[in-house]
Amino acid sequence: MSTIVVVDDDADILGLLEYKLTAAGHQVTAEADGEAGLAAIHEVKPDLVVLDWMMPRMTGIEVCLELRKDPELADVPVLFLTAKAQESDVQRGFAAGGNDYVVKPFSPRELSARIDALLARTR
Amino acid sequence: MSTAQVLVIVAITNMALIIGLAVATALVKVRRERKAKARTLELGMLRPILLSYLATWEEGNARDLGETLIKHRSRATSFEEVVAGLLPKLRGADRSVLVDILRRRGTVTKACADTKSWRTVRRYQAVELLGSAGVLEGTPFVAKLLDDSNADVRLAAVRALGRIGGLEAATALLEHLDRDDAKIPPHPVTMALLRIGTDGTEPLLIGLTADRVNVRTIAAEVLGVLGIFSAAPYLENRLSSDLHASVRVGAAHALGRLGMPSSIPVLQQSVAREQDVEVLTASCTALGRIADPSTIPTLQGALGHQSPTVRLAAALAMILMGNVGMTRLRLVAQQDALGGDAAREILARYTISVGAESALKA
Repeated sequence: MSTIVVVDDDADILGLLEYKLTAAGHQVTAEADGEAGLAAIHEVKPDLVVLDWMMPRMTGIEVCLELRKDPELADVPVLFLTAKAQESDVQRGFAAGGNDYVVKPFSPRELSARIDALLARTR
Repeated sequence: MSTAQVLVIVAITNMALIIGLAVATALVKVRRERKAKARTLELGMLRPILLSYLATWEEGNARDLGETLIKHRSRATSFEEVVAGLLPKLRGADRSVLVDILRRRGTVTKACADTKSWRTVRRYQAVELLGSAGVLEGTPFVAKLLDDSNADVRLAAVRALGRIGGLEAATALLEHLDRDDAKIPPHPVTMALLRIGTDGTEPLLIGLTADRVNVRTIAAEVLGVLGIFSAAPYLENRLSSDLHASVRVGAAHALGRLGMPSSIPVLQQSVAREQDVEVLTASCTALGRIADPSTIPTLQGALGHQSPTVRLAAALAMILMGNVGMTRLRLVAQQDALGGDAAREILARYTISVGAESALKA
């Protein structure tokens, strides 16, 4: 069982991922904005973070950059789940320290497989 | 009856009317609030069931949840709202699961029937739902709404056909646009065709020879943006023989996007013979995109054109050829050869650094 923090301001996606990842046997903490997400990450110290990009208070990129500054959390894999689909956006996501990038609309099955792969790689 | 009595009766009647109105307003308000509360309650109940089903549908024990969703009869159509909100966010098997629930609930059949409703709102909602669900069986119903009396419904139908996709949808869009009494604007049609993608290749190729100029132009542009290489000979034919300049411009742009060396002779011919400045500019740009150094002499010829737009396009095309083109442009600028003035002017106006060159190429 892994601990995952999901941060997304879209209630449907947040709810769906919470159900899906919980059903897959993970312990999930869901937050709806960047600031609350960062606080949850500091508190939970998760095995993986799923981050939306465009969120109130703090963007996913800002959260990821903050995360990478913290020596305790710098190695936590981050998966961006965002509607920003341009080549330059993907590049920015990886440059900010993202480990994977999934564009919305997305396939929850594919996302789940990517999460498993990321977790297996970091174990 | 005295005047005083009449006044009293009038006052009482007015009072009764005011009280009646106040009571009616309060009743309407209470009813609305009750309906909203029921809707919120229903949403609160349905959302978790739906999300939970989506998360676990692959497991056999989620079947009960699915049946609950299919049998549930909503009072305020909130179930369809929840699904319609989720559909655009998902793709793949999970999306198909949602569409399957809608089908089994009879929502798709009802939406198809609602496209014929006399109520504009109902037709609009139906077309939006069919578009979000992307169900192919909805295509003929949605296509009929391209002729709807309401402009918003017509636009929604164009968008929905783009989302449903497929050969039939592309054909319906292009055939409608080719009519004299076409009621839909070309830009949303272009966007819908781009969304349909390569499934629309056949109707797009037919569209290249349509009666109306805007259909031929849209078909040419979309074929280019979609990168359909098999369209190159048809586009070359349009560039060399279409009577309307906007179609030739669209064809030249498309050929540039396809970037096939086999299109070079037609594009060179266009640069040598074309009278229309926009077509000439588009042909120069296309040659630049193909970036074959053998076309430099042709572009060099265009540097002497009287139109500054053509001269600029030719110079930029030469720059896109890389070092060979840039060297030739500088050489032309130094000599008193054909187009020397233009090359000097353009090089002076556009001091191209190595960084800018790569930016242009990108």
